[in-house]
Amino acid sequence: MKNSIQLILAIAFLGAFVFNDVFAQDSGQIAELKQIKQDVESLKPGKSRFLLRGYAHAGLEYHDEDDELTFVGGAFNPLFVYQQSDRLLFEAEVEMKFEENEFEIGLEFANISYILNETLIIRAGKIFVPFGIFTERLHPAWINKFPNFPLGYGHDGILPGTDLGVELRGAAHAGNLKYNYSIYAINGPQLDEGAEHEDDIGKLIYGNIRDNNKNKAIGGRIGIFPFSNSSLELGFSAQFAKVGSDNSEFNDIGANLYAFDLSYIKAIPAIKSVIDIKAQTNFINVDDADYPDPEDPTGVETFTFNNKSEAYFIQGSIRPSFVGNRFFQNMELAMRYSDIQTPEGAHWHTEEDQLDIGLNYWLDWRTVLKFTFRKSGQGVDESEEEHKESGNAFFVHWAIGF
Amino acid sequence: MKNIQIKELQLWAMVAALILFLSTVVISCSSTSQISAAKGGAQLWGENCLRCHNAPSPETFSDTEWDVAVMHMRIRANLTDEEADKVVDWLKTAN
Amino acid sequence: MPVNVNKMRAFCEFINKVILLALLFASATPVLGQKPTDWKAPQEANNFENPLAGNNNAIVDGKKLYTKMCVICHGNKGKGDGVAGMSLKPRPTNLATATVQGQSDGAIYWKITEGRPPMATYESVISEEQRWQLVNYIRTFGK
Repeated sequence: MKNSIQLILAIAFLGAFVFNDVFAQDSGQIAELKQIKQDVESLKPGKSRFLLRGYAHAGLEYHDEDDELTFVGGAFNPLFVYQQSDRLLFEAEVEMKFEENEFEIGLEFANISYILNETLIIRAGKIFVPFGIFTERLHPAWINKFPNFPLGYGHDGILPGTDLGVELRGAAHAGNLKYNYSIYAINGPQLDEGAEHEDDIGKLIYGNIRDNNKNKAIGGRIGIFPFSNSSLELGFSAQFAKVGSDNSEFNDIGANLYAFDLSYIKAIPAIKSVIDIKAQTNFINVDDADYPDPEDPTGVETFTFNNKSEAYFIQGSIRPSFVGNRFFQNMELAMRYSDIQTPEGAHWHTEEDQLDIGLNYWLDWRTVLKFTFRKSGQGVDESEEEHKESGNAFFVHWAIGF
Repeated sequence: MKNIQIKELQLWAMVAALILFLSTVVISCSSTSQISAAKGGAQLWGENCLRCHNAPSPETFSDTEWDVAVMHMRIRANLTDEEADKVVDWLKTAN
Repeated sequence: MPVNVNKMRAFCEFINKVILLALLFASATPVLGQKPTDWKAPQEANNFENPLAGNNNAIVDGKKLYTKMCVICHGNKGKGDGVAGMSLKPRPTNLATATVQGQSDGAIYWKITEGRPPMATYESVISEEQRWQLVNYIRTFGK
């Protein structure tokens, strides 16, 4: 009896001891777990977040026109993306580059977007004008399959680039058809009345910080995806504006601009490749006007011309991604034909075309080495423009996105 | 003068058409369809990113960064609400 | 026009140099190119028993899942030739090869479950049963 009491006591004691130990271990672990949880919580990001993105390039260019071989680059386009909340986003892109031996810095765009509902976003500030697809989607160095732009695009081009205004955009489905849309009001293009260069009379000036009239340019783009896998997009854009300044004789001159665009990407197993086709065609119509003839010192004589311009490009590329050889998997052959026609009779008249042939090597999804040969076609010699944007040339560019 | 009036009329007709279009958009559209509802995040990531550029490696960003990057792309490349949600969820499982 | 001839010659020489550079670059790619690293499931995964072994209906369900979640990278026939996989590193695995087909059902199941970037983890995305359905469908690529 005594023995058994001792045994029970011993077991109870031992039990208490073991239990106590387990309990101590348990509470220790719980404390540790709490600590870890607290540490993790402290690292949890807030709703406001900042992300630096952008792109850059560097390279070597040979221009036949001036027979020079030049290292280019030092171009740096940081894109600041700031997410204020899950509905509000602010974006700004700064463009830094060397131009004619000078360092240039520009504000490419800066705008605020607010997601109103599932299918409607409002955006205001300096925006890419949704006119076609090249400027808004394809021009960044790591996306553009060539180091240069098609004829008519870019800061000195004849097409809308960026502008200040307000935009509604979004994407939705009508039945099984996916579409996206954008409509906007911006300062819009201004008619060049020859204040700076007489030769530019009748041209449109884009991206104006201050408007020259009370009229706002109104426009939009609609894109549809006929196939459910989003491989094909067909887009139509239009823009309408009064372009003359309110206090000039051109105050009634209007302009309407149209563009059609196409984007198609497809894997073709038979040739173990992916093909990518992009195209855009633009029509710019400005009302006729009687401009003072710069060659007439009395300023009485006028001249006029049919102020219609056109520009288009079509590009195709093929990448044999699925062949066995790891080197050729990353190669891409790209070709682009572009063409521009500005009004006959204008001092800035030009009729040019150009063929870009490129061989690209993709180091990863956003890093590419481009070897491009640019062949200028007819009309280049008659143009009095500077030849950096056209003329035979050879480029080797290394572009990255980040 | 008559010419100007016709042009003004055209302009207002276009504005009216745009407003009509927008209201149709707001009222009748849906952010999804039967086909897109059946799609997975990986599929939508591939199909939509490739419209403009190579499909990005999910390893590029952290979960937090993907939230911002995808929101940026939703606006810039006109992704639907559903596409953006599914794509970002998938990217977070693969980084 | 002797000037032009000189210019042309200079241009040709330049092109030659570029081609040389390109060839140099090409010969350097084996160094640049990433070698696929081995991805081995742990030993215990081989012991997982496939609850759907020999179940043909599971193949049908697996195909549906495969189309929705895998085709974009691994391709219609599992050859690793899906359109979105072309810029990923490592490239999507060719599921028809002996290297994959030689693995146990459990190992393939484990890889779908765990993932390895840029391959996603499907543990929380689809159910265990669905993952086994995928295993059964992936087996058809070996036939």
